[in-house]
Amino acid sequence: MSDTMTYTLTVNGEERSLDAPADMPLLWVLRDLLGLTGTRFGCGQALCGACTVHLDGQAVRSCVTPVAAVGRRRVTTIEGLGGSAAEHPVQQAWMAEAVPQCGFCQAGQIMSAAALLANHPSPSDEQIDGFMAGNICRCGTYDRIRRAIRRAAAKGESP
Amino acid sequence: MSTLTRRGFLVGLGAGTGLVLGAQRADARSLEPAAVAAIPFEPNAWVRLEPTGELVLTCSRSEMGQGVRATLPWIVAAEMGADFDRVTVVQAPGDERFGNQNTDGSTSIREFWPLLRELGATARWMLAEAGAAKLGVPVEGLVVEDHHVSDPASQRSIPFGELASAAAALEVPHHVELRPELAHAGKALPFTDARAIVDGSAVFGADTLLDDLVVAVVARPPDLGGHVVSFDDTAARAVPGVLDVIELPRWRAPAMFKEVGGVAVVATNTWAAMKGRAALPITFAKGKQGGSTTEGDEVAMRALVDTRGRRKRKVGNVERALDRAERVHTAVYEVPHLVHAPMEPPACVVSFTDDHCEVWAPVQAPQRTRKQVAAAVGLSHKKVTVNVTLLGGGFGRKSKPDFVREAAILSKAVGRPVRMQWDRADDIRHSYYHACSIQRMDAGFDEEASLVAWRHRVCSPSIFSTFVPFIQRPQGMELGMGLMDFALDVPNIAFETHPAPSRVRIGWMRSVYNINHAFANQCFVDELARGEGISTPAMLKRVLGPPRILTEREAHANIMNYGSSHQEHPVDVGRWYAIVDAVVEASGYEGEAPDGCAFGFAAHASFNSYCACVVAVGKDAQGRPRVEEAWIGIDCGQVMNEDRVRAQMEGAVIFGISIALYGRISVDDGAVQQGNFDDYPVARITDAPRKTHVVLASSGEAPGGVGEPGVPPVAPAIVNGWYALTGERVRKLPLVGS
Amino acid sequence: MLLLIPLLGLAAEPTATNADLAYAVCVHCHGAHGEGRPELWTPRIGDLDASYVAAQLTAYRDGQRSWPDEARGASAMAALARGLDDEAVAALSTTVAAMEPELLPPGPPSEAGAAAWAPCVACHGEDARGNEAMQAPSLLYQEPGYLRAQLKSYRDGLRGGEGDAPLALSMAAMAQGLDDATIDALVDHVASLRPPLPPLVQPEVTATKEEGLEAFADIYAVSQHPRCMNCHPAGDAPLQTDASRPHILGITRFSPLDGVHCSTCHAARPAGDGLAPLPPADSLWSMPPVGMAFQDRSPAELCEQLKDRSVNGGRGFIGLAEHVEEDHLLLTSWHSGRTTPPISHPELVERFQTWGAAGGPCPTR
Repeated sequence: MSDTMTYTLTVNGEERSLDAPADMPLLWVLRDLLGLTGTRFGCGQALCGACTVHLDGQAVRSCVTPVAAVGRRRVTTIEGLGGSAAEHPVQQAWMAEAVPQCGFCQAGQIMSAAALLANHPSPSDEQIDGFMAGNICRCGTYDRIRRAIRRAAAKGESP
Repeated sequence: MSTLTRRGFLVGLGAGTGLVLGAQRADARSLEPAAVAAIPFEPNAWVRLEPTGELVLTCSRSEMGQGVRATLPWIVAAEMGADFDRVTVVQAPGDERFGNQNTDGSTSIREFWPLLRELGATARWMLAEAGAAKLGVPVEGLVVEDHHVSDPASQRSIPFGELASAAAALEVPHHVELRPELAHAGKALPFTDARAIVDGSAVFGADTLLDDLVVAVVARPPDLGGHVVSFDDTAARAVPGVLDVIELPRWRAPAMFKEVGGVAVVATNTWAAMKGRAALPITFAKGKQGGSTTEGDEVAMRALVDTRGRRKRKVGNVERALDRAERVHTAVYEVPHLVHAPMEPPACVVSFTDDHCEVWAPVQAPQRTRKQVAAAVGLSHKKVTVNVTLLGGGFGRKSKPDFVREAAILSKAVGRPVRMQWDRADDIRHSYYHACSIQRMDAGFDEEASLVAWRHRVCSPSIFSTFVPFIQRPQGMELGMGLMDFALDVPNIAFETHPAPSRVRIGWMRSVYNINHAFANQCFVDELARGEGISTPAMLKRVLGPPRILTEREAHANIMNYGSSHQEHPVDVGRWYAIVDAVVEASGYEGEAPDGCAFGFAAHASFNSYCACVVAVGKDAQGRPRVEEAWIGIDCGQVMNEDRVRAQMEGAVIFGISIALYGRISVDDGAVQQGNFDDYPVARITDAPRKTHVVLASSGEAPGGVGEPGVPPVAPAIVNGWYALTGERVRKLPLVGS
Repeated sequence: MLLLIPLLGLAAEPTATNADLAYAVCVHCHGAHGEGRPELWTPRIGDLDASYVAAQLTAYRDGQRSWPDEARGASAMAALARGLDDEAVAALSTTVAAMEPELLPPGPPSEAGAAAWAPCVACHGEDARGNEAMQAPSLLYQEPGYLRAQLKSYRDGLRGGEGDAPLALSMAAMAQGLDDATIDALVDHVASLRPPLPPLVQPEVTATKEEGLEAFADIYAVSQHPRCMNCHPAGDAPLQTDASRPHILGITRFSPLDGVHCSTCHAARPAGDGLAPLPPADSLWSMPPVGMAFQDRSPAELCEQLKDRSVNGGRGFIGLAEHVEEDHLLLTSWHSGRTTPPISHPELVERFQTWGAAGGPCPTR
């Protein structure tokens, strides 16, 4: 059912070749095979959003996305979002608003927020909450997340 | 807090290199200038000033979002006069040198700050002395600020780095004066790990990458005390990547911090291990909790609270007073088992070799972890190094290093470094749970509407059952969380306890028994207020009595006071009044609630801090309770890092919303029924109030706790607000469920 | 659509191609056959040629097509397009160009519309089927509401404004001075240009009314099973679990317009792999058109609804049976690793055939 095959993925702009069974979730490909540990494991059932990455700029939960389903779509992880200087407007806003507490959920939050702003450069409060509802924060940083998204939206043109 | 004195730290435990260099003071001048210039200044285990000027400060408490990695080093740096931009923060491994590293009970500031200031002040004095010598001026006139020692009179200053070696040659003083205050007004304190968190490089428990690392997941017995009878690993071993299938030691009571047993699958990567586990048919036998159900237990607990329990506090004659009272109000409150569910499920890396064991783990108690791992693998704890990573949420779960023991046992068994990975179901099903409780409150009023009787019965399992199984009812430490330390201006009082069985491992979760006791007290006060036709804050003040210090004498009981002395942190009813008034005013509680909402109020003191909460409760589109706006106030004494105090309060509101609306852990046939965020929901951004106002009402007293005190008043405030909105009085949590 | 690559390796289980995977974010709003979803204000795209699709995706990607002032969902289009490189654009364009959505019947003639149509012919063709060389799209089967909205957008400056593609600027010029009544007439006229539908081949009547009703009873029972009904709800939110509760997190059929796609959380994954329950998923997870609700339908209502060609994709009984036999999402109902409908898939196909062969009789209630 899940024979090991060779996959070539484009991850953060780089081509990476790897051998994995077809059903290995992209999350574990990234963490275990490619050593990109910025994408976090929180629930394994697309319920918490900690594993959020982008495929062709769209947010997906990598814990339930098998590597076979990625195809030619380009994978962006938190490590690749803003380059080595964390220059994405969302990352900058996150630091300016001192959003994180423990920080574990924040990579997923940032990836979701970046996808939200790509879809809605000036989201309403309802759109922010609706889009970000899939990302849980047990430390309760939600209000700062909202502020940081509004701050990033106010700064800019489309990211 | 440890019994070691400040002097002990500076001289014996913390001084390290500095003391050695101090003893060699006379010889320092004979060293080659270059060699002298290269020596860093390390007056104690926490401070190292390099000759380059880089200041390396060690944080010896675990970072789980409360901001210790910024605040604790900052206290040292501010007292020292250092520029925080020149500071590098390193995390302390588990080591006795650092005193108490147990990050628990909201103690990192309140117990630790005097020492931190001493550490900084000592370094400041020594740098000043070195500077005085170099400048040829008396030390009294010098200013130590901004990473420089300066002489205003001659307008000369020397950067810290240039004084490092000279300071290193000095003897560490035993007593130094602290600055009158730490200057930080108006300056936002830097957030140590912000950049690493937003760029993904932050290292949590599962992120340590080693050559030769393998991954393990464990299939654990569904019930506590259950054990493996047999298993067939043929299919598991056939999964590509699976290396081994190993049975863990069988669990036996007491639980302590031990692993619960089961069968581990070890593989080259996490997915293979998970698939191996899924392909592993195991026959478990039930343990002593088999057949038990939460529903059944609740029936028994409800029956018990209607009977006389063991008296823990007695004033006057409460039975007679209730009998004779003009009117009696009775209510039974229920709080279920809850679980921490930190976003990071337990995960760690352990590398065992014959004579050493190295650990990288997100643990709240690294010294305990060291000893537990040593015991698990049969090494002296001195041969175990525990490196503390960032914690993706703790809330008390990661005080218990059972998962680190598992990794150590397996690393020893397979001879390779092992990452132990718990998934969310493991975390929710095999945790150490918040103790459930059923509490009955009775209050009697006389004809003049004076409170004449107050009886509070608690039926709850005890945390101690995890360590001493026959302890089945809450003990002094637990009763001291919101029961014994609750001032009552009532002539007849009784607190009684009843036993409840521990079907699961009972642990401690952010604010612990304060959640249960605040729920009962504050909902009851609200009910009494409405019955008597006065406002809830007014009824609370009536119940508390006049502003005063609640002595143990008055309380007729030992008040554990969260480990603090009553001199340093008296239980001050006046501070209850002040925070209540501050939040009532800030929220406009006495006026109109926002459209479509009603106000709910509650207050609670814990961990030497005083907290009050007002929520505006409305309904969502499905007619369920929704907190539209929240005001949370805290008097935590002097504030060190204002932004982090605000963040903790904001977070406590969300944590409290989860408790009020959703959380419930239940057991069936001994096994926990919940398994993920679908059947154990927690608050999401859609549950967050539109606006949260944090009221900081510091009294200027010694710092109290911050991480936990915000939680207890939130759930009762929500329940009280729901009543005000709908007339529905809920006495059993959660309000919504899964 | 014939499905090739084994994600799963078992012939009877639904599988998906690479093209399907790329189309996964498009299917919810544009339909598996590119037929569009009027309730989501999305156009029918299956008639478009590859170069036109590529030009639009590129225009969205490069900021030429003036968003976000276009209809709701336009900024989602731009966001989606920005994630595509040229190779992905080409692949998607090929996929879309190969689609064959159902033909629609002609509308009544419009004299005013016919008169206003003359200037459009040069680019869009006499027959409104478009002209690839002129980069003018086919309009013939486009959803009338969508056409109306586009003409108004061009007229009112929401499309074809400064920075938009040159042809869009031409369209804006063409649309100047069109009043609402003329726009309505034009749209009616385009619909009237459609050729009559080929006569519907209905199956021979080889089953009795009783046999047909019996077959339909099974069809109805299947429709009410959570595996089917959960995606055919009466309201806007899909349903979850065997308890058929509204989807958590406030997800509705409109969520993809805001950028929250089904595939955000529901990726293609093998079914029945023995792991703890994960969200069921398929690469083409999407909701049906709003008219095809099963929940709260009585047997009589569902029966009429299934036969209604304006709601069922223009299908007769043969088409319905084929749809049931081949449709990718329908097949997943039996392969999701959860409870399955009361009869097997082949049995359901047979029921549709029997029902059709009986002339599609409907129960009275």
